[in-house]
Amino acid sequence: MKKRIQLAFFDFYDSTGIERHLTKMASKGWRLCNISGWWTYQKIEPQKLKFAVTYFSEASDFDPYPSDNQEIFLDYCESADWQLAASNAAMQIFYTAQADAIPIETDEALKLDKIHHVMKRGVLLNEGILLVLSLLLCISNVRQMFDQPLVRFSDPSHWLLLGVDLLAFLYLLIDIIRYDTWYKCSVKAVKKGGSCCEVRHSKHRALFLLGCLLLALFSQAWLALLMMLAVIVSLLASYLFSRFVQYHLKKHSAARLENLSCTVLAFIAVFIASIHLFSSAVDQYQLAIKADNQEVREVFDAAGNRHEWLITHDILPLTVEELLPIQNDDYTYINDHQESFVLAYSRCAQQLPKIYSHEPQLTYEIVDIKADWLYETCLNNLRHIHLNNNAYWQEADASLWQADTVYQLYHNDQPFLNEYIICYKERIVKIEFNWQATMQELQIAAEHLRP
Amino acid sequence: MKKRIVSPVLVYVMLLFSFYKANIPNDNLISLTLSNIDITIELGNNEYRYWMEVMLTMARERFQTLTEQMFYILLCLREECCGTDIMAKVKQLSDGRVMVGPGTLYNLLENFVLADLIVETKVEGRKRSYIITEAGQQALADEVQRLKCLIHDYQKPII
Repeated sequence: MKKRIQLAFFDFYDSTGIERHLTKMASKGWRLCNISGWWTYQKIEPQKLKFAVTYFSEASDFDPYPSDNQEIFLDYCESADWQLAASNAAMQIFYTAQADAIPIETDEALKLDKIHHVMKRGVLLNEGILLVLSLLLCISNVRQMFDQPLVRFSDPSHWLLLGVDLLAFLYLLIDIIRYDTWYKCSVKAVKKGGSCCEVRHSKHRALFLLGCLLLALFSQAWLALLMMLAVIVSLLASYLFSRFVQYHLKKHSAARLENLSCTVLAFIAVFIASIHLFSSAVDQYQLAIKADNQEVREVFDAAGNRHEWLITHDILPLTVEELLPIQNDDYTYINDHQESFVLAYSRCAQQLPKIYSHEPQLTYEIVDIKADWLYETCLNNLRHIHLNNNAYWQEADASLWQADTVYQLYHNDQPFLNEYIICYKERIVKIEFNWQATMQELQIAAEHLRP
Repeated sequence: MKKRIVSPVLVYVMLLFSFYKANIPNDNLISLTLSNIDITIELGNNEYRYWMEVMLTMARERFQTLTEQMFYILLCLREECCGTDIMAKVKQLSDGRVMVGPGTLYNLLENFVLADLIVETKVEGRKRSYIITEAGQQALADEVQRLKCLIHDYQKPII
């Protein structure tokens, strides 16, 4: 028998809209036969069929067979010339070819009660939980941004996740408010003797998807997008596998609780396994990219013990060789750069293995601020000192650096660690020399680090 | 996890109230509905959580005034009748004016049983038969009385 699959995006409580759609499909020669996830139609002769959507709260997708009460309900419907077309948990869809068949629901108040009862226990409960979760995630993300402003504000993945989170929160909120508005309208209408209100179609679903797509395109957070794609694929795989498990358990007449437990476990197991697989694949991919720029070298300490030393060849704006006449093949050059629409942040280091602890080494952070309101936050974060209370930043001569302000780290009234914070209009640099740099060396460093 | 939603004392008082009210011989049938109460009772260091799904309907609001469909269903059940036959019987009794859909019928029968307006008499496979109770008869009588009052007031001359 010819079949057709369709993804339909009706609100769960939009019985009128669903009935209208199914009647239209039947007139084109397609009758609904399954509504698990997507809608499946079977080919029929085009005919004028009437559909009725009703909500039977006792039904569950995990029941091996209809319960006694459900059978009785189906018998009542059959005696009124209604045949069951498809069901999905509480939603039961019937059809009849009789134009004058008694409607399944003839009491609008009872019908509204049933819809509300099913919505409260199912859709609203789930959406409520997701709403709270997305709000907590938003709050957590924003908190993280202010706890680690340099890393988070400059990370496009973080902005993407925050954006998607906010969109999800708004989407769920709108959905809940829409239902609440419809319910209150229907209660008023039914009290006056009328029928439930029509469900107004909203574009918020399409806007949510469009918003996510735009965020994905403009965030340039390719890694985060890859992981999001991985999550979507994992969810799909888990869903399909769990439906397969559910179907087979139902076929073998497993009890509702057994079916539900196994289905949920199957979903979780497949999801975790596939996420793990994708994460490993992404990690391998990242390592493969970095491997082009890396080599592993053997170094020996004073006691003659062999160690492995990973050397990276990133390009740095300032190197030790530009400041001092020095050459050492064991230097590793690390430039960890990330950039978003508000901040660019580079963590640079030129380092040697521990056996060369007395050799010159350099570490510095460059923060390029694109949004003025972030300046103070970034500066305070860089000025944060993880030392005892005797360390502090003191203003130093800014003319050497041709900067607006320069701070030098002091400890017990003495310069400490040769550490400086140099503030330009839209750039802040924090640099640490592990040797006592001369004026000339500082001038050269300033020339390289100035915006 | 400690979670106190309703104090045991309050539940006890509500239950007592419901039993008291259910026994009052008056013309207003009242049953109390306590739905889905999550009760946590603390006993010293132990905590017991009971999920109690007690469905008693707040019938004062629901069945004080009967809709036409409720009225005719109760009317049909003055004689023992199977659920599937009620729809046809109602249509016949009302000369086709009142129709009860299968979904509405199923819900109303369930609610009537919970409110003790009808009682299940026999079960033959999937066929269940019902008959009206005294409380149901009283509800019918009250409704008829109410309608008579309406007719009487309608027929009064306008002052």
